[in-house]
Amino acid sequence: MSQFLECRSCGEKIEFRPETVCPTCFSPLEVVYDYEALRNTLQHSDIEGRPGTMWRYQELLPEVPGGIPDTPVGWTPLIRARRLGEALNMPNLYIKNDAVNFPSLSFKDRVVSVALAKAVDFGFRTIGCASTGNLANAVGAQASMLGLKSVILIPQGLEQQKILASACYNTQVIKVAGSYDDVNRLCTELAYREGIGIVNVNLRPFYAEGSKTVGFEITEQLGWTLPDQVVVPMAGGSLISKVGKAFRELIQVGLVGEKPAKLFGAQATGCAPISTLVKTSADELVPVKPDTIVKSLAIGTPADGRKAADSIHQSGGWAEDVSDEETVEGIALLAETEGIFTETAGGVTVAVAGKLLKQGRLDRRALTVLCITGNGLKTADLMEYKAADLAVIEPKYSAFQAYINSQQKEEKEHYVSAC
Amino acid sequence: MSVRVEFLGPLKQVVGGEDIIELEAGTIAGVIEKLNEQYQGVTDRLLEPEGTLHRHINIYINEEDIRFKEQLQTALSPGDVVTVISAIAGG
Repeated sequence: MSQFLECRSCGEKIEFRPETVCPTCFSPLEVVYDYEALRNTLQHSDIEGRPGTMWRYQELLPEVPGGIPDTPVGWTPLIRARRLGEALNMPNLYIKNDAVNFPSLSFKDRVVSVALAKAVDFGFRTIGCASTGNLANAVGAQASMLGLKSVILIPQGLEQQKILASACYNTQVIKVAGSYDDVNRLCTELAYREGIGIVNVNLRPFYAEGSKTVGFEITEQLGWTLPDQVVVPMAGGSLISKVGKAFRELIQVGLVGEKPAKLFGAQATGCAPISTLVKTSADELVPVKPDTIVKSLAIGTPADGRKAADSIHQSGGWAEDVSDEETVEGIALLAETEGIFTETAGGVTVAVAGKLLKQGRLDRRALTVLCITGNGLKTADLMEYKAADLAVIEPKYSAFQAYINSQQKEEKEHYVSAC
Repeated sequence: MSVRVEFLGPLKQVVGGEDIIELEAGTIAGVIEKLNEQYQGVTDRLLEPEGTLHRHINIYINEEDIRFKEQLQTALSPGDVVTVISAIAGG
């Protein structure tokens, strides 16, 4: 078999099946590929000649016997962030913008694309997920596209925009009176008691592989060069680990040269179990009860927390966390400098980058990529303060002039120069 | 005091494929000790070598994670439901 599941702890190998842990030692299973064979066959030109979707890296994604999905997920813009770079004094800064990922405007479309392809392959009739919002949107959208029955479980306190952006699809949304971690436990029960294909439970090894495509795309978009530093938001800890795996795999199959790429993790201080683990170098992750506006990162018992911390340490990177106020400032800074409206996780990423710079952990001259993973329209209420005191004027030129004249002199000068 | 212990998914293997086991115990540590008397190797499979809960296994008492209680020393009441599940989920 050219691809199989392998236990990260005891090394046991098993054929693809809907299972997430090793049957012998209960450690996580990971998809492994025949890197030696790929090293001799896979070329840049093979990938570059394919459609602009995440499936252009199909040799490094789980095999789908029924054919890879034709949904245009991934291949999102990598933007040279000159104005944000000026604000942060980082001249070599880029944004990987999954705020415009198709179809549901977050990086979760990537993992769901793989999970649903394998769900169909395994014969599941109903699929589902435990979600902090973005995954719910992605499962709802792609299950509808594929005509699959789906059930989405979310904590009841989720942002209304994320609930609406899930309920609009042909899916069943169920609010759970509890935290994300409560929802996650319930979904684990559903996977085993009801035989539902829960994307982040019994389909998890395949689902998680979709996150690698963030790392593959960044590298290809940089001209097949690994970045020096990448800043990634952390919830369950899977994305940052998989970005690291993507970089290693590209080296293993010979598509890029050996080069260190440092991983930096970002969390909200109100839910920072992985950041704390990195900073304290403790043996075990200490779970927390989340208390933050950053609901998309509010996982108090992250399944890949230990793995994420190990990936960060091994890369020579670091992790930090920021307050809710700093998160909102991060959202505003990205919008005002790059015209990208991100949700709370993106605000955390921008704010953590600023904090790591001040600490000297991030090299300000190094080629750095900030991973923006979700769209600001999903948490738009947080920015209400920006529109709270907007003027209303009569539809007359004189009214416009009067309004402008009433503003402070420097504001007027700013407006005129901008025009 | 009698409690009900449920194993889900691959974790059932720890107790010979059983779903539900009723037993008498006062703490989670007591549950594991009792199970170890009935099924070989339970302690080794559920606990780390230093005696803490296996990092990839979660145990709940009536849906409450014991990591937010007294861990393995969390006390049990008659009729409590103890659920043993893989921790590798979500995110």
